[in-house]
Amino acid sequence: MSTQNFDVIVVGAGHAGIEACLASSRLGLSTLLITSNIQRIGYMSCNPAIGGLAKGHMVREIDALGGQMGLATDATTIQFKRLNATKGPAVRGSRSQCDKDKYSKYMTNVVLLEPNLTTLEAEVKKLLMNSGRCVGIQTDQGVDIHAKSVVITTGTFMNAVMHVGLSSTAGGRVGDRATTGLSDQLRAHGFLVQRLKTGTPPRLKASSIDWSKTTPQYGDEKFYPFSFRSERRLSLPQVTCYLSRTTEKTHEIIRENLNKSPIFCGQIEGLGPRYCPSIEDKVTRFKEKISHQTFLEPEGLDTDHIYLQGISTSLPQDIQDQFLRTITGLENVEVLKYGYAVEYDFIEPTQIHYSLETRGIENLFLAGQINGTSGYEEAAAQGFLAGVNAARKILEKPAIVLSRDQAYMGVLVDDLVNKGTKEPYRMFTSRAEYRLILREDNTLDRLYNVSREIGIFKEKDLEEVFSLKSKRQNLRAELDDSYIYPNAHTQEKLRYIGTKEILKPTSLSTLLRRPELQWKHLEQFVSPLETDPDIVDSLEIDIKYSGYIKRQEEVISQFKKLENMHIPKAINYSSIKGLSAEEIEKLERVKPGTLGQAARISGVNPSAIQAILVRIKASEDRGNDIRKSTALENSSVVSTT
Amino acid sequence: MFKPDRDQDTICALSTPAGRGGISVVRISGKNSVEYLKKIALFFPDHPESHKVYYGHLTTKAGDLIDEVLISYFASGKSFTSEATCEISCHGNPVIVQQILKELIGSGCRAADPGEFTYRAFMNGRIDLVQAEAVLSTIESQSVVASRMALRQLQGDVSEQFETLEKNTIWLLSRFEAAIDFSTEDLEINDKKELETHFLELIFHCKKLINAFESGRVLRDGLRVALIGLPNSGKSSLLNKLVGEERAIVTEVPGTTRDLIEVDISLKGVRVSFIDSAGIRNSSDQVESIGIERSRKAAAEADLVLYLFDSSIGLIHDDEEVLKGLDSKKVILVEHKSDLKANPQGSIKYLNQHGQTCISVSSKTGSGINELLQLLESLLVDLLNEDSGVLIQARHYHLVLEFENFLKRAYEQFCNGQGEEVIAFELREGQRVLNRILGRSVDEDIISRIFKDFCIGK
Repeated sequence: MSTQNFDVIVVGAGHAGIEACLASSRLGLSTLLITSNIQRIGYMSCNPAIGGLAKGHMVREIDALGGQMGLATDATTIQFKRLNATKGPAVRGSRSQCDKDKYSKYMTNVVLLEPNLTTLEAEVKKLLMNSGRCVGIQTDQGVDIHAKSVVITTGTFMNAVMHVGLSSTAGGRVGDRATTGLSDQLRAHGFLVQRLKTGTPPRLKASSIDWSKTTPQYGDEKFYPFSFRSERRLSLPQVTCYLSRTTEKTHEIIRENLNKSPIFCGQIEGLGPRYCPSIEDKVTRFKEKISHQTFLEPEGLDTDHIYLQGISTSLPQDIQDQFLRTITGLENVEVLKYGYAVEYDFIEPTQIHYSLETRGIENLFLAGQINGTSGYEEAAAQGFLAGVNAARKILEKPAIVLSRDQAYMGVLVDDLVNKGTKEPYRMFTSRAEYRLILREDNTLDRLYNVSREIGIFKEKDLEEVFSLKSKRQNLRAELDDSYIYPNAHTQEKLRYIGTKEILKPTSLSTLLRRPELQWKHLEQFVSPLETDPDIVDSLEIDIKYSGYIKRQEEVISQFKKLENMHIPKAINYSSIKGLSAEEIEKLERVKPGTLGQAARISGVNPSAIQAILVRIKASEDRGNDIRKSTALENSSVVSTT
Repeated sequence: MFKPDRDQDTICALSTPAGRGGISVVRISGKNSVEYLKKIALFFPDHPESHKVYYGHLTTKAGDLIDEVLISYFASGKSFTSEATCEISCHGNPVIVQQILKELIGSGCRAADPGEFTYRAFMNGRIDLVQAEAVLSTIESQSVVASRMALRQLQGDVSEQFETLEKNTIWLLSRFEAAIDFSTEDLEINDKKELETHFLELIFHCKKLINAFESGRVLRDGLRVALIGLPNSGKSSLLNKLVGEERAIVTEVPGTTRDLIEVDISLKGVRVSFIDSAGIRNSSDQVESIGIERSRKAAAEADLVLYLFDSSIGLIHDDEEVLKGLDSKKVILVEHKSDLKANPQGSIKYLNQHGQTCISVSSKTGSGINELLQLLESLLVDLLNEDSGVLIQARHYHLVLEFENFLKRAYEQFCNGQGEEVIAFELREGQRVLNRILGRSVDEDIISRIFKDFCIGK
């Protein structure tokens, strides 16, 4: 029974699905969003915060390209912090704790009000296929809906099982059903489907906590909005978080009850994230640590739910009650929701293209946790790109692919496509080899051109961005060219601002690179000095880092050399000597377009890359030889006849 | 004509030095080794056992006897090249070897290019780049000690050194990275003292490798000793005495030696090359001037200079002029013709000024020759220190210097209290250099270097 037609169908209304459906509808395509629970659009299933190190970078990137996450976060922030504020500017990351309900309501409104976008509450049972292509979906009601592209963002819901103690129930989140059928269909199409695990801590009742025994943690005074479209002020009242610690008694109870933990009994097969271990894991693996810190974070302004960061657990409920009450301040705590672990199916991401379209099924795109990632920001980044690329495929435009030196979003997709993942993949600044260039402050400059190419923003939306960018460039040129000279007057000024005298004519840019000097000191030499933080902040960082940035750019140009070395489509890996069976299998699965990409496929060793390079060079040489010998043979044919 | 992929060929070559000897070894490598060999070794089984030796007679396809041989078989994955390999030990006669190779090529083998066995071992992941270079060194090494060192490199000793550097660099990096990415978790990673200790250990290790390069180079290439002095100071006589044969022409006419003469001896298993040169003086003779120029160059390139002066004349102003142009650290003064010694005062005065080693020698009576050789030996003993003699390739040396540079910058930033992201940046650059040494990263330089050394593809 075929009833409706859309350009794009997005399955799932989490952080990936929202960005996907908004991007595609904003690019003018009729889009259908299908969710199994319309009350849970943009729901924060785990921690009540957006951003953080490397994640904050991605939120800004999504925003610069036309996504929604930054605006929603700015509008619902109840505590803002700039992490690593005392460290270098490249590794600072913004993090907002959000009012969870308000965030979800904000997103629900945006989705429901978006033109070109229809929302449907249903469960998707299977994909409709036509000669190897995906042409739509079928709902649990047996309704067929056709579309030119389908984006799947089912999160942790595929064949999901929740574990509390040794009892397990099907479901992707408390109160929500699991999605069944889809992963079996994908498996039947030859996809490698594997299991991952993640967990969530208990939620506690605020009024049952003895706050006097905890340490308050305040947010920053200064707010840096995630969206360049938001105002620099907070719209909601700000809350305080609290710090507490586990005790030796906590650890003792946990150790005594490990036999009731589904992870330790082998009931859970999927691998959990190493960077976000359960409290059971922490206690077992770091025996020498007698106490672990935990943050108590309010989940909103109008709720008494407290999120217990760092204490994710899947022990039975009575054991959770017991050990929670040994944590300082929680002696009489009441639990509103117990912690649990969830195990789910994911598609090994080396099976998708850079565009996030699957290699196995044309017109099918995957984004978010289904690709083995973890985190709202990682999901939103993929969702946005999948939505854009699903739309662009229909519009017959080339896919948007961000490179590793362009955006964290580029690092994310590149890692997934080439390296795959064994544990839920989370972004870190250390994953970005060009970290000094990929900063929060220069996001708009980095992505201005891509943003224009995508076209969600109108020219006039980006006018101000462009004007700031050119103002910065002009100001930079000015400082590079303005020299101060070693005369008595100048030396006195330098002494006055607390820095060494100069020995030779020095440009103001060079002067500013001195660690003890800041932008404001330049007012001694420039009048009037520009003070608009939108112009100055990023410029000052660029100048301070300029030595490193230059070196990093040299490395990037070397990287591009390999990136520009194309691997012929017809290459036959199994005929290249020196490749292991594993390497051949991985290369054939990913089918890298360039040698640079091949080098980043995990499990493919440099000796293999050398062998491939030798083959490419040899076949180039042979190509020449063949041409020569063909010419010779032809001429000999001519001469004999 | 279309050439099939050369890497798929089964190749053969003589693996022992050409010429007569007790035995010669012909090696065959490639997937058709057994098939091709069987055409001339009828006794050889279809499915030989790896690492087993088979005895029998080789015959031509016409049925004529070639030789009585032993054939060792190494199965694919268990041989040096990682391919099925047969090694024929035959009698060490070039005629027999040529006949075997001719027959093998007639059976389908291709004659191997220079270094092709090593190239295959490298391409098949059997050895890493450092080891591959060691194989070339083993083939080229000039002395017993050098080949022993090359062998150590081949066994992975050197790779191990670099892997240790890499391991320690990654250790440091992980600390700084963690301080950035996990700053909100209470990790105890900021013990400055511990980080500093690791930095210093790494810098020390690096320094050790760099110092080792000099001795490593000498051991591989041999010690070059230039004989320098004014005309007729007796350089050629001393050379003849040192090598024990008449290689240089000795005449009473000053300026006889115009071309460089180089003679090798072996001391403590190390090759020592003596270079006899033209006497240095102001000369209007064009040919002689060219010779003098060569002498200066030889002195500059040598590891050691034996500066000869005539003891009957003593160290004169002309000598001091020449000595000024030499690197005093590598000069040993030889008071030559000590049998004719007349005026010791001049030399002693110079010695007091410059604190240089001086030794009295007579080529005529042979006195002092042993002392001179002992002095050279003792210098070599210092270089033979096994600990230091690991770094062979110049490529390693330059990369270790580059690595040290990044490491020092990282340490400096660390001491100045700079941000972790900047320290990590320097360390990552260093790590990239180490990867290049180990052939772990894809680098056009490495690749072209491989092509240069291994003669591939053509």
